[in-house]
Amino acid sequence: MRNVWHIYRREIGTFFTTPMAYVVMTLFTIIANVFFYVRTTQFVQEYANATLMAQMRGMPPDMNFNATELIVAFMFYQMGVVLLFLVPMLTMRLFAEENQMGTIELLLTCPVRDIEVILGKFLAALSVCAVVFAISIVYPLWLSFQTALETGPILTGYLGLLLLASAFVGIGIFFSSITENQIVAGALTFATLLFLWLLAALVQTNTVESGLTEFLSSASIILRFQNFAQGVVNLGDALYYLSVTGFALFLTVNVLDSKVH
Amino acid sequence: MWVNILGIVAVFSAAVGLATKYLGLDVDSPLWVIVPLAAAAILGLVWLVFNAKNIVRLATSRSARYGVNLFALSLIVGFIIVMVNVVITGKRIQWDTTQNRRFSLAPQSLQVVSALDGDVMVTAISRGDLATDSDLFATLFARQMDLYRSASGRVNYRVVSARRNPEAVRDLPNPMEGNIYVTMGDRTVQVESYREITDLEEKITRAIIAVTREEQKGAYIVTRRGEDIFTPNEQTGFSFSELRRGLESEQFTVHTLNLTESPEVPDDCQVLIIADPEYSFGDTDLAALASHINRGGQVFACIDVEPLLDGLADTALVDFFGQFGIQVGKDVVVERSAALSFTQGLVDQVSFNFDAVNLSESSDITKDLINPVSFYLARSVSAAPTLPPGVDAELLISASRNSWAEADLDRFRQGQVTPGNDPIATAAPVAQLFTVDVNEHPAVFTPATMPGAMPLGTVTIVSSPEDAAVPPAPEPMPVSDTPPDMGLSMDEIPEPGGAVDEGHDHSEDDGHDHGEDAVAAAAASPEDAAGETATAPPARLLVIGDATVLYDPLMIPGRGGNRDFVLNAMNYLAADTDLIAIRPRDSLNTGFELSALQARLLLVILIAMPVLTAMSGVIVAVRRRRLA
Repeated sequence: MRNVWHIYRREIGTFFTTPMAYVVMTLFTIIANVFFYVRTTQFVQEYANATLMAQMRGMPPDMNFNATELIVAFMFYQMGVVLLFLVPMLTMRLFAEENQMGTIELLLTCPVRDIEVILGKFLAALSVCAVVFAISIVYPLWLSFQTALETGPILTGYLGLLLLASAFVGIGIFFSSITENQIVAGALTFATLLFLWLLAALVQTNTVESGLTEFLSSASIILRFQNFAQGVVNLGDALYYLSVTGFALFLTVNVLDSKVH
Repeated sequence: MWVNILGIVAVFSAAVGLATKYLGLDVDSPLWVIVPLAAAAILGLVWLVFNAKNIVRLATSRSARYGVNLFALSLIVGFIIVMVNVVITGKRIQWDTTQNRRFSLAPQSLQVVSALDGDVMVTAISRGDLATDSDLFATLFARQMDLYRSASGRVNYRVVSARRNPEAVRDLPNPMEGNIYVTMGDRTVQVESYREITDLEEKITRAIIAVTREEQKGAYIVTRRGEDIFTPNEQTGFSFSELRRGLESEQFTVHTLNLTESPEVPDDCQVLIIADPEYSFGDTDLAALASHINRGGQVFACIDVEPLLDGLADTALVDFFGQFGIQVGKDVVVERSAALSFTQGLVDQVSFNFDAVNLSESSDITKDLINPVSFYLARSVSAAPTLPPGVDAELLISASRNSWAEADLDRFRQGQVTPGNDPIATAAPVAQLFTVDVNEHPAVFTPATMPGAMPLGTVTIVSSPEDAAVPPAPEPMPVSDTPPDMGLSMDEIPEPGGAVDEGHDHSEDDGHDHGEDAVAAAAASPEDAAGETATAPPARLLVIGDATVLYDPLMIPGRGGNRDFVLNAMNYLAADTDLIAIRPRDSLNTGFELSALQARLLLVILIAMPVLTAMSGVIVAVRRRRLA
């Protein structure tokens, strides 16, 4: 674990002493803030309209305006979409840069195991994602001053985001390990994540009774996230993300191992 | 070179063929699948023949053997991971953290499926073509049915395509896309259309109830002239359509009953609903009601305060129920609460529209209710201090301990807010007009003594109607301004499940009735409840002090506790206790409004966030450059 810690510190230092992490955080907050502002004002407007209509009828609004579901859960989805673009930026250099500069041989001949190198880099990239998520706590915090929010769905939403990010980072690290070119690593990561994301669209355009659709549905990375965003922790969904992460890291170990051999 | 081009063309052809076959593309001829796949096979074979030497050389190299080993290992690990995922996902172990557990099966659904004594198959028909909402429906349907299947091994489901598999839907009635059917044995019930997928659980549970129960329960709603009470009233916008929908979902057949035309309650009426605040019961009406009760019929009566406020005499029905020990107050229940005002700080308010949170924990009707029952301008309903022989009573619902029943209606009228010419205010008389600041009207609404929780409802179970001496119709009496003798002090509040002690002085002379504001109360004869020699089955009379409780806006699924309370009460009255539970619910309502200042503040925060992170990056970059 000590080796993991050393590599983690080195990678975190690289992230936060270069503009990379700040660029990612700034882009993330700009995009997410736009989503939040638009969604919140839309919610307030619709609620005001419904209240006005209800007053005219002399009864409470007959629509469900749940801020946790309609704003916070919506934001979790959007943060997931933003991650799709940001994670490749974070992970593309992790091994590709080492491959390109030739420092990978140095790293692999050090008295550290491959898995320790991978875990150190993985946890560092995941930590940057966690910092980005921490910034987004402003949204539920601000909303909690306006109305009563449900704590459970907020916690599960962040848990889901962390699991989603870990799967993304795992895939990103794998593609970074197989190439020397950072752009290629980033593009492959983005293409793969986009494919896993768009499986949800394929599910909706397919015959639901075919076995293929059932498979696509269970493999879709976004459909698995729905439960977390809504406040439901499903063991199968959590296992799916951990499996994707674990399998991607397992493949990365094999790639590094093949370089040694 | 040309051989490799052939290989690429082979891969492309294979992709086209497979995509056409498996992605559900709408093609007229099977040749769209066969031709590309055949071309891919031929071209691939050519590529293999011309690259045989290279393939053999690569396959026998050291790196190739290592790569094959790694590939095989990865396949094995991947297969194990997929298998573990399939098993765990199939178990559907999950935790619903939402406040009202809206993504779990409702207690009623669990109760219904756990009581199944046969296998139930739920079938959804999907079109299975290009992107349609029917496919989204099928996804939601499958998610919902997974919950049912994990709750009971007797429930199974399938999604079939009427186009691709017409045989599978041949025996279903009206097999159209988006339809859902519940089948048990040789009985099949159709669920409502997919177009309203928001109440999917309620619809499916309703269909399961329908397919497992053949008998129907008759519910009759008394009307003045046989008018249509299921479409919104032109003036008020109210109707009983949600009440009917809810009752029908629980195997009631709902009818209207015009007692003027047919002065008898039909024999198939198990529960008679009286909920028209403006209906004045005459002699023949009361005789029909008495006859219904005499034969063990059930009554759900909502006696509204509006006739009193309009100066109408409603004493006939009130006195009629009085014979059974139910006291309907000539008053208005007033709820007192503190509210935060931005200009005045904490202010003391009174309101006549309130959520009754004191629910009896001993009654089957109310003990599992999660949400309070909303009342809009209610009068008190409580058990009499001395019940007639053969009658028992149970308090169901009361307002908070800060409430009281204002019996001086003149003073009540003085406290009304005048709507003026504002059209919105004029159209909103119930929710808006009766909230008055106590500090501004101290003489009108301040209770004389410490307030108490006024009883709001009583269920009276008359096990021996003949013992209770069902009365002839009383003579109508004019409304009196004299403070009535119905109020109960805190010590006199009837405890749930029993009658109030006899010999207690219940009179009050201050015009206020304190105690748990009774909005719903029930009565029963102990000896008949024990099943002794009664000639008629027990009659249950459930009386609540507000008719608005049954109207549409408050009966919408998932909105407060009214729907659960009313449907539980109806099932209780119809002695169908298996269906007394909490029904599926929707989301919580936590809407809010933003002032202009708050909106600007939000904008400032949202702009400041990326500016701060960008500035942090600039500072780091500058420091790094200086150090370099």
